[in-house]
Amino acid sequence: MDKPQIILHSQKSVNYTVFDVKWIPTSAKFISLGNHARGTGALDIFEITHGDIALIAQHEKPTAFKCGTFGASPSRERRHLATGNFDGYIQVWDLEKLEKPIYSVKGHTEIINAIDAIGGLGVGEGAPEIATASRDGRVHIWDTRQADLPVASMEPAEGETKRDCWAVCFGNSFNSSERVVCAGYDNGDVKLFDLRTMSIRWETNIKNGVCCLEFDRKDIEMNKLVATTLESKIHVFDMRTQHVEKGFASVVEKAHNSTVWIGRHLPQNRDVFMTCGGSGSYYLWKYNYPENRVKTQTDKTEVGVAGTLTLLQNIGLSTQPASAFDWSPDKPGLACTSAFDQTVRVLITTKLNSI
Amino acid sequence: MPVIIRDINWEETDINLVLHIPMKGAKATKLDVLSSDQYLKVSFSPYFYEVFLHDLIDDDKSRIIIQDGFVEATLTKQYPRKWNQLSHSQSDDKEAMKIVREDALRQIAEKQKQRHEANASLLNTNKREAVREQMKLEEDERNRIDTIKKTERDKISDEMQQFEDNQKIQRQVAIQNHVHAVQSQKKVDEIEKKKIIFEENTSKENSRINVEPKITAPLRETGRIAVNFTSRVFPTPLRESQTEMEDEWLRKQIDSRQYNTDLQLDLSENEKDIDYLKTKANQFFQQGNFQSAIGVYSHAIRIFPKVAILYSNRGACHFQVRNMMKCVEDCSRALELLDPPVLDNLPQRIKAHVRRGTAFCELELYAEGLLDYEAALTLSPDDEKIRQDAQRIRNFLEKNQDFS
Repeated sequence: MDKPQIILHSQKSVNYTVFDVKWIPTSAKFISLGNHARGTGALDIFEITHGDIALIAQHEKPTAFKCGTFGASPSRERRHLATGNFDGYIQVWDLEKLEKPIYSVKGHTEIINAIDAIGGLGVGEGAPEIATASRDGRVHIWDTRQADLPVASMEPAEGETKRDCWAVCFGNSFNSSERVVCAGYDNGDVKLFDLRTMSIRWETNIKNGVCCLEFDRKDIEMNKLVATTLESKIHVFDMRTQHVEKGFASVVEKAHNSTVWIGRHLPQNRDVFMTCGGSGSYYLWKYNYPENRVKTQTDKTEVGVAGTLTLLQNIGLSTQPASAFDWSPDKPGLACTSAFDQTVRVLITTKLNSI
Repeated sequence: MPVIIRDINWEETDINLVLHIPMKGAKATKLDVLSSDQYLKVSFSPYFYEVFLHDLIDDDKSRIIIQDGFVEATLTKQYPRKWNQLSHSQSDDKEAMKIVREDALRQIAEKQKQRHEANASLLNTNKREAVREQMKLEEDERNRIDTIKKTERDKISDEMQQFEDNQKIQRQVAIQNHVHAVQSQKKVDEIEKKKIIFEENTSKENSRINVEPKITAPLRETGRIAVNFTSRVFPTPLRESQTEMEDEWLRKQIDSRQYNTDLQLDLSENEKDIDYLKTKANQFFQQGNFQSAIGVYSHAIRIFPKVAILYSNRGACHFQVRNMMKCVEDCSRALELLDPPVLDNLPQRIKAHVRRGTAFCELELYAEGLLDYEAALTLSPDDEKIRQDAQRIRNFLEKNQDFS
């Protein structure tokens, strides 16, 4: 019983498909974003009270929501939620005044599949920016100070047939100028864009469509990158050493027996992360660093060495895929999650400090 | 040939009777004893000794030891009294002896059986006991784990409660700090003292002092990166397990596009263009001129023998002119060419199955037709029409069952 336990704290049924859940910073509340059967967007606010989830507020918007993030919120007290919807609109909402968004742009021609934000909440340096990935094959970076046009975009080259971009994440933002964006596509491409030099820093193909990407920390020199894909594969890349030809070293794990939809690192321990699968299962992993993270080859070039993954715990909570998962930044082990069985759940993982 | 031993010695007390039987050099390991409550036979080949006892003995309490080349049998009497003779009076009567011997054997057999049964039942009770113990242990283990889980859960509920309260307090404090900071920032009196009510719920009637926090970082210079993708022919996402089949299908498609250069006919450019031929045949089909359509497709098939859609479409034409057998043949050929089964050729496969199924039904081969419909249903489980048609065929088959 010394292993961490994943305990279902409470769950709540809703009457719409939930696509994303996120904790509201500095509170015991979380929001859920989704799609009503009638095609409108759902934005609900829940609070944890007395061992149960209470619905505090319900909002309906004209278009269904696909994803959201608080990452570019100016401060932990003033919470701004950036969302992407099914029509390709990226909008930023002030949670205290939800009637109208404070920023709205039709940034893409098709659905925004994933969104990530950085530079807000007092975390990291540099301007607060939002990245969106869409089915139109483009990744756009937005700054709320510039209306209508993205500050940076990664688009298919002339004559290139577009591929669905499924995942996007920020990283390497350890000072005010450095920042990278990593994008994953449905044909298995993973591309690392450097925003300071406006160039592609690394690209590779991991043979299965990429569902989710996440750096272990956005605001440090890039350390590890988790990529979860179709066909039950989880890749963890060691991002400290880049070899000219071989790129970054990685370890691959097969789990869940189904598409691995999400991978999320624990905010309090960057070597622990949770993956959620299409079979409704949740796996808690720990990354073990190798003895030496760098190996010198015969031609004097350095190549990274990947570590190993240990499965700490797993739990099956539903029969439908998990659509979202978010660790609470305030309470270690507390997480909210949603699944396609129209339920939001709150989980608690114990004994995380004994890892 | 067995040798009977007769030169034995015996002694008795009220309770016991001791027999000394000489072993005559035979090995102790070869000793075999058969005893019942009035019969004793000791044999060690080639010698043997048997006696029909005068009175009853207690078989279970009697003992046999081997000592100094003698077999010493200590028999405990059932009734403690002196016998004065060893063998029963009827010992010389061969018939009587035979009966006695049989009796003894039967008794021994029964005793064996009883012992066996007792063992078996003992084994059973032991097993059941063991199982019960096991279950109890597992139950205890389960309870232990459950209690641990429950204590964890309770501990967490308490922690959660604290966390919630803390957050509320923190938020209040943060808001007040924010308010103070804001108020102290204002140098001009234009701000009247508005009462700011901050509630935890999103409320619409509150007015707020809007202070933009200064974002110090500069806006990024607009930039653009052109992206090239790893090429993929199919629009569907890449799956490792499908890559082999997809590659094979692509190769077959490329192959089928090569037209058959064995033909020595002199054909015009148009007649070698598969799209032209398909359009022409389609026109004939739309006009109802099915025979001509068949003609064009057949011509196209001679040039492009591996293109599945040609067979499939010709099958449709045959169906229209009621050539059901030919339709079946063409659909079968099309299905053969639509292998390996990938997402790309799924719609074609479904159509081929449905068409062949219908043709079979027209030929009154309903069982075969049902097979095709069920195949189509597996490929496309959401299609209500196929499901209903399959059900109709099934019902028809059941009604007209041939009890032959």
